[in-house]
Amino acid sequence: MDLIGQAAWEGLLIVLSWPNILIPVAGTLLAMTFSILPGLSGAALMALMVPLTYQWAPVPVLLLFGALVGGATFMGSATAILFNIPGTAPNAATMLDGYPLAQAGQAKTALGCSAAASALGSSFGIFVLLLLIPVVGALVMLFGPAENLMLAIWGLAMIVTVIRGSVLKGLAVALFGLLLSFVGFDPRTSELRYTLDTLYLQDGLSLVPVFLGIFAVAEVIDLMVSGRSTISGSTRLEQLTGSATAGVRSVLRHFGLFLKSSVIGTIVGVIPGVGGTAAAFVAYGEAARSAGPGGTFGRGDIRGVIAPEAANDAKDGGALLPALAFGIPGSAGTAILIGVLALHGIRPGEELMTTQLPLAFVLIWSLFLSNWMTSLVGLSLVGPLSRLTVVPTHRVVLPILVLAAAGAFAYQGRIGDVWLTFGFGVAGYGMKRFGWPRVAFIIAFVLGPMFELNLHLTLSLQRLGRIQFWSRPVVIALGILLVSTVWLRRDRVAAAIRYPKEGPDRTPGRGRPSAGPDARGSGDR
Amino acid sequence: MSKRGRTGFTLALLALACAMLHLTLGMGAVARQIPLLVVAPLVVLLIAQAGRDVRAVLHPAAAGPPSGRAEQQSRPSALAWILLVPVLVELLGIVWGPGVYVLLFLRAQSREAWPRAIAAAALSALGLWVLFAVIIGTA
Repeated sequence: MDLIGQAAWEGLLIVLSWPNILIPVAGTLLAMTFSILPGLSGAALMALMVPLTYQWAPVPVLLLFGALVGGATFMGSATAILFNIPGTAPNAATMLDGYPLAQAGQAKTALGCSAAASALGSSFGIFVLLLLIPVVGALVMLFGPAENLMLAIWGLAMIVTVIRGSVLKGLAVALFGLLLSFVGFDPRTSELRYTLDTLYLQDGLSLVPVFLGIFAVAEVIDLMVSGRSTISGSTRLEQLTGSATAGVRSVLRHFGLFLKSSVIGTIVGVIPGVGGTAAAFVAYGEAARSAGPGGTFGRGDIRGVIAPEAANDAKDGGALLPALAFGIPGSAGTAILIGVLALHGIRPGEELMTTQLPLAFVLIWSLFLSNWMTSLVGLSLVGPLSRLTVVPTHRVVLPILVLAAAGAFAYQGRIGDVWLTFGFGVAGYGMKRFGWPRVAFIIAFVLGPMFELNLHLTLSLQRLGRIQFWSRPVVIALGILLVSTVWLRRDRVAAAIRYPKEGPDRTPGRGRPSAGPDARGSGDR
Repeated sequence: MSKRGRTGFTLALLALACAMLHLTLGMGAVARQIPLLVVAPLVVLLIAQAGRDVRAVLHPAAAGPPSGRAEQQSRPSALAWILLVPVLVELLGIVWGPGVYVLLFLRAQSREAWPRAIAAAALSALGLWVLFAVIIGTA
């Protein structure tokens, strides 16, 4: 432990020394600017920066890439809250309640909350990273296909808890999301499924165009056909309520939820290949579940901003654990990071975790600094950003459409993604208009591939006698969580099974949410 | 419009689900296992919902109150404007397509003056050119 403390101190001194400190600052600002455009994630920026750093020494490289990992988060949340456009895929969960809050004139509160939850969540993730460095090996080995499968099933079960309105429609649309996630190669036989003999669909439907369409473009259509003059419905800045301070306070008020979401984010981050999007949606679903039937999730509940933001940022610390200790990437960003480290002669593993530990801490502190700086800059921008919600609709619509088209194209440089985005935009508008819960679709779509792949792996391992599914402690723990999730919302499950008289579909955008301390927005799920 | 639109949307989803069921049945025995477990209940749920929606159209009294939502512009017109984006990107590329769209939108929808519309279009095209041709190199 002394060795770790000493290395942490050495790493901190390197980061704070002049002119080293300039690199994470510049990297953070660059990442913040870049992440305004949807589809361009921190990973895309990292990939673009790799050739620039060929001649650099290892320390500046670590400083830069640590900042790029941490700096891309807040602006993605800001566009999610203000325009229903996720800057990066994990920000999609923030839209579900952030945008309804902005529609209700509470953009400042949502942005302040997002900034605070991000900064604190990343700090939590890094704190856990520090604690777990000595036991990282055992921790990573706890998670295999069976545990990942249970995690996916738990996430899918949460759909029941986040559906409002018609349960039947919620389940149907979730099945649709699951089905569309199967487009592409079958994980066992490599047979093509639902590709209509086109090359474009062989890689499956990409997350970013689907998110952009279902939420951003659908919202634009709604803005165009509705009589709303501005996003918030207010035409003057003074009519906006809430404040950044109220947002920060809300994180402290729901500190238990923040901690729980951060734990989820860190754990998901540690598991290779699951990623921030799943972390954010699982945390969101758990927050909605624990809020019970009285929650106003999906209609502007501040807890719906806290949970995904905390989880998404806490995930970064968790994802560094397997990356640094074993060279196992937990996400696209960490995969690029490992490649960059290799280019500069730094090999993740025992050496980096012992003799080169100060270098690992340079990366960790740079990430930490970047996350806080992003949030502080974000907080200072809350005022100007919230002004965008009182800009007349006809002026907002056009930049959102151009941004959506550019974001979709930027993702993989394919015009097919632009078609996909706008096609899903029309479908998303129909879902919103006629009460088909979009959140159920998105959760199933995100978790579908994880569910299918791990189901096949688990069944194969079980058949070969390599694992006993129910004898694994993490599987049992997740099974208990799963049962409690379903039990606590048994009324919804029973409604789905019996298919009784359903309540009226919640036609989104019409009316205000039910009263409650955090219920301020309107919209759908 | 609302009830008919709702029914139409449900029937469209049902048609899509049936098409996917058809594709699923055409897959190999192993590859279709999980998709079939998903698409079969999906079709059943959508048939139930479609039946419900059709009943609501045939018996208007059973349905809720009509939508009172004010509409700024017709839905087909809005959808046409939306679908014009990918059409222009397909025809003119990611740099000029959105630029032309900005020009058309500002003139026809927002009734902006020509100089302003042209300036905005030129700026959009320039920004996209810098991003895609200079920085990323995909345009």
